[in-house]
Amino acid sequence: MEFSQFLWIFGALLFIAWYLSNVAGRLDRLHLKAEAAKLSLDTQLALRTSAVGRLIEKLNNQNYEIKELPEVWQEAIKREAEDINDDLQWQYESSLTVAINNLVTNQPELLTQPEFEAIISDIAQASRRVQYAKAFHNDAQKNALKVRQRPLVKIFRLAGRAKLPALIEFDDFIAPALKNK
Amino acid sequence: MRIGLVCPYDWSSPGGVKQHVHDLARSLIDLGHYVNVLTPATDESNLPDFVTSAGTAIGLPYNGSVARIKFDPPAFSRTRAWIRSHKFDILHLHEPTSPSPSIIAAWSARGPIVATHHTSNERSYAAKNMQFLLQPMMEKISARIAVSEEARRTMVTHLGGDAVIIPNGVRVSDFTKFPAKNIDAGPFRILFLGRIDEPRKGLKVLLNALPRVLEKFPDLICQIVGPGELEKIDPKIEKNLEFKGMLSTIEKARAYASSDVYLAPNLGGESFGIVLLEAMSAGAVVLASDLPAFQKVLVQGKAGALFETGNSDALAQELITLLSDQTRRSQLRNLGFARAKEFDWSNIVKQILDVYASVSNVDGGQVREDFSGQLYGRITRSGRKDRRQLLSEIIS
Repeated sequence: MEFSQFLWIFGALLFIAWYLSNVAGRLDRLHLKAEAAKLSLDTQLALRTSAVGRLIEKLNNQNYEIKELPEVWQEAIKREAEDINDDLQWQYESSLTVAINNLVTNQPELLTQPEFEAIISDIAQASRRVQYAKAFHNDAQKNALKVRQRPLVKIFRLAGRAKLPALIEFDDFIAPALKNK
Repeated sequence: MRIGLVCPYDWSSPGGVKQHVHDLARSLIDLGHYVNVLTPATDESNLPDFVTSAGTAIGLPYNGSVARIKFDPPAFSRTRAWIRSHKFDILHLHEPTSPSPSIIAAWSARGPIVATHHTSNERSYAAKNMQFLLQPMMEKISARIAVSEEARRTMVTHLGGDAVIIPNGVRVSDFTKFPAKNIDAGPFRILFLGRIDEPRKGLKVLLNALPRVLEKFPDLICQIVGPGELEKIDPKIEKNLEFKGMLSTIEKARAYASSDVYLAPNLGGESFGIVLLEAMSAGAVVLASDLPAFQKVLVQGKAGALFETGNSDALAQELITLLSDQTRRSQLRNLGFARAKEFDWSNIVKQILDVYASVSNVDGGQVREDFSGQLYGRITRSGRKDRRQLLSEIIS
């Protein structure tokens, strides 16, 4: 083998190594971003359940008849504390969303009463934040997933032991009555 | 919260994005946040105290109009110094793909970064081919906002990923300072606002329609507000035109309030209709071309009248109907005002703060200079220090 051939092969190997390390670095950043987004989603969900807790307390103090909301709230708070993140948790988060929307749609008088103004605005804010955090979470996970599915990344195991990114789906619709609150 | 906003276009010339950044900054300051805006500025002597200049802007044709931007070495060093000295909790970039302080900031910062996309254009080869170069910068952004469904679609096709939609806002109280024109008092006054020499704004469509409208309403006055000059004016309509040049916000509010109908004959390239909301806040009835963005703002014609885009006959027809029907005008005025209220900055800013809250945990919630992986970072002392710090953070 001539020296120039050797140089060519050496150069090519160097380039491949540089490229792979670049992709691995990028993947690492994407995983970190996805993880930060997951933490943020967990935080926003916990803040929502805590706001719903305060709303339930207030409704009880004012002798309101509510059934659906406390039940799903109990389940959601239990699931969040366990931090298992299974399908069942997202089911309860969906039910919580539906229960909040049902409450404000069926009892619109809550939205206009001055003593509920602060807590309703908290609930609206928490719901919006959950919606945004979920959107940014899924975006970050999708980005990481797209790079992980490249053949080169799979062959050279560039992802290391990082968990496979996963999307989260639950109902995060905000009732029109709650918007702009 | 300490918030850094970056405006890509010249602060000294009017424009939708600049207006958006300005109003957002004022609304955030009203709520007690610390805000500083980094922007190119041709006239540095007259800046509000919450604005930092990134240097003089140069004109560059883009998306059918001239964007005044800034992208040179002094802009790089000024942007870095700005990020270093302000210690922001959130960095909010506007139009992050334009060659401007926005993209420089995305390059030289890390931490919680939010970006708002304003543009909507169907085909932009520049943006599509730049994607490869932009990728590392774009991946640092934790949250993206689009001002409309069209802007979101443009962003998704050119960059991939997703964005939440938070519409543009209007400071309704800025435009209610003058009483709206008496609805039945003639002669009628209509208003056009926009750069005169820019075909995209559609002044030609309006001028071609005027002779037909003048047959019915001979003493109608058409006010034209905006920079630029017309090449030639049809002598038949000349006496009915009033040119006002560029106006300040207060003078604009007066112009809206003194008009019966505000006309938006734009031909395209609009991702939102902020001027429509301003006109509706001031009590003017809006007649606009049926671009998707305008249709949405006007609730498919419920909050203002629409006509077929680029069709002068349709415009004339619709304007004549509108001017002859006083009941419809007063109805549209009320519905338009209610619609504008929905987009008041006091509502919009809440949603933007919610976006900030949902990414504020990124990178320890601090915006810092980013040296990682850059030549600059590898050879300078501060860059090496930053890398060491980063490494120790990762190890711990």
